[in-house]
Amino acid sequence: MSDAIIIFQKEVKNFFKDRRTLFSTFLLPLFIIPILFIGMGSVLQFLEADAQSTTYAIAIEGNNDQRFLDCIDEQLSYRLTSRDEADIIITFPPGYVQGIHAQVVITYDSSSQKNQYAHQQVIIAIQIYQELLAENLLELHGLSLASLLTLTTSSVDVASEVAQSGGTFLAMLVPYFLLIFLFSGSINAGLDTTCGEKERGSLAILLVNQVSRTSIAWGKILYVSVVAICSAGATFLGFVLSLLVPSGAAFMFPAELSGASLSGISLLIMVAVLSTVALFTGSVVALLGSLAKSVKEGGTYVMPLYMIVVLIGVTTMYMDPTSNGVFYFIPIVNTIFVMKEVLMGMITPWHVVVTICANIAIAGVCAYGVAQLFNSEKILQTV
Amino acid sequence: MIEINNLQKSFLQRSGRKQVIKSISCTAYDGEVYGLLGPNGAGKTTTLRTIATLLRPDSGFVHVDGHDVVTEGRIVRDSIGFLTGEMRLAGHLSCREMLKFFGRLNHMKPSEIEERTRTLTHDFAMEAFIDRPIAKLSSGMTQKVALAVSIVHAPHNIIFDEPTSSLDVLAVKVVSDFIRAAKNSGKCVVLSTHVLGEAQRLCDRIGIIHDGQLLCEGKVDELLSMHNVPDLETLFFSLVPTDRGSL
Repeated sequence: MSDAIIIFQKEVKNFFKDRRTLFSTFLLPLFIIPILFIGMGSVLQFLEADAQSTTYAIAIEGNNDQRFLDCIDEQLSYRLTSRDEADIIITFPPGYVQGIHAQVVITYDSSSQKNQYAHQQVIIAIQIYQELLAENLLELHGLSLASLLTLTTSSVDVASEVAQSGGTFLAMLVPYFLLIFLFSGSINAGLDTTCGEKERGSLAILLVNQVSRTSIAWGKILYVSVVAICSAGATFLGFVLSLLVPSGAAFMFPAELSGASLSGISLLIMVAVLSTVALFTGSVVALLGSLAKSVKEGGTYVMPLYMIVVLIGVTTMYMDPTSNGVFYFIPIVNTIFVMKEVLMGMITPWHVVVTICANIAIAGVCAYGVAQLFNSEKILQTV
Repeated sequence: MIEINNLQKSFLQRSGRKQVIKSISCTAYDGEVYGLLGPNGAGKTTTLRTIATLLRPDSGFVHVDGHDVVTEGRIVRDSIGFLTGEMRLAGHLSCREMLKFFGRLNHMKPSEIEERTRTLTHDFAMEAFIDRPIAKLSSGMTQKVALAVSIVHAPHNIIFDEPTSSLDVLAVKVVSDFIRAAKNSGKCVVLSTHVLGEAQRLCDRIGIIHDGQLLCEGKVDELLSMHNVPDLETLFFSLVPTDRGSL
């Protein structure tokens, strides 16, 4: 194992001296997440503010009731205009009288975000106007709307404190982002240290030394795993950064997220499962990279796996943590569910243990495979 | 000492199994430079890769200092320094760091690595770029570092495949001097080269390979007088059939 550590140290040292790789692996995920969220939040905030401050041209046909105009006025800024110039046309049926059943037609252009906003506001205005008319009708019979509405509702949320304070939202996004960046981080490093070295002719120099091929395999897998976990860590930091920066990013997240926090044990579990899944992705990428003759060929082997990871990330995004134990034996899937459990404050110890053991076991099998490949003549022919 | 006995090697290709080495037997002794000569595709590199434990013989055996390359691979790798023209160092570590890395892999003590680095830096005239990153070196400089790395553990047997292929005239002399010094210190050196003048100057004995077979083997001067030719180039072309029509 000491030889594996020597190889690992050399690879890490080499990695930290390569500024370009350092940028794409650490700095990019560290800043891309805040830039993404802050950018999207700012744009959405701007669009909403713009929609709210716009004065819409509205044509109203078949109803000139001042109360209706007041209802619209409460919802959005508008000016009355003719049908031809209008952004939105509100048409009451011919001969409409307040209080009778009528089909109100709202004509608008849904391709405009601002018109969509105005359309929603007009619907609310019509709803309020309808309630106003109903109130008037009831008054004629000595009744009030409030006296007819006999039921009120109140909800008691029994979700954990962590889940209530934005944990559910985090459980949806964080596992996905972490795994994507973890996997992409291991792809770059994993292919470079296996088929990249083959291509450059530097792997053979290592293989003709007395160091065992198993040590070479573990040294490289450890290196790829550490790069992957650092890449995932940078992503997580980027996510936290986007939460902390008082800007448009806040617009993207639920308000309760500001109170989100992770306990020490939760953080420890997150690091543990992420480390083992990094070991898994590192070993798989190293295995596929060792099979390939060039980085290009390695890319074609790894890409389908990357797509599977993305697919798993997307399909599990809206899923709750599962109690089906089988899922915790499947790498990637198990890590997503354990992270969801942690972020939602519903940690199940045996899920964590199974996940860690399964990830390490499969990484071990892959490491054995890499060592076998380094001993395989078919592979050695290509170095 | 490197002993090759009835070595046979074939590779599986799409068109079927290709016999790259039909039968090669030769021995390189301690304190001599053995030159393996032959045209491209003759089987030189395959032979050297088999000695270096990167390939396994189909039949026959290869022993390095009495150790079998198949069953005692790690011991063999400990006693050889192997470098081919295709092997390149790469990355952002400096030459010194690279030497330290391979020294550690060979379980050398830090003081030994330091001493060896000093010696190799002097022997290969690497003083000017020893602390420069490999990525920023010229191909000749990289080749020198690769040579130094391959022998950082002071192996008893040195196997070089086209060691001067990308070196300039001055660097070729440095490597040639090193090979002579290694021989004089009792090491066994096996050299593959297509530069026949270089082989004649450096090698004590040579083996000429063509189409996976050893055509002749012996001391250079004895072979020249036996075939009544003035130099190695004439001997080479008298033994190896040339196919001008294929050019």
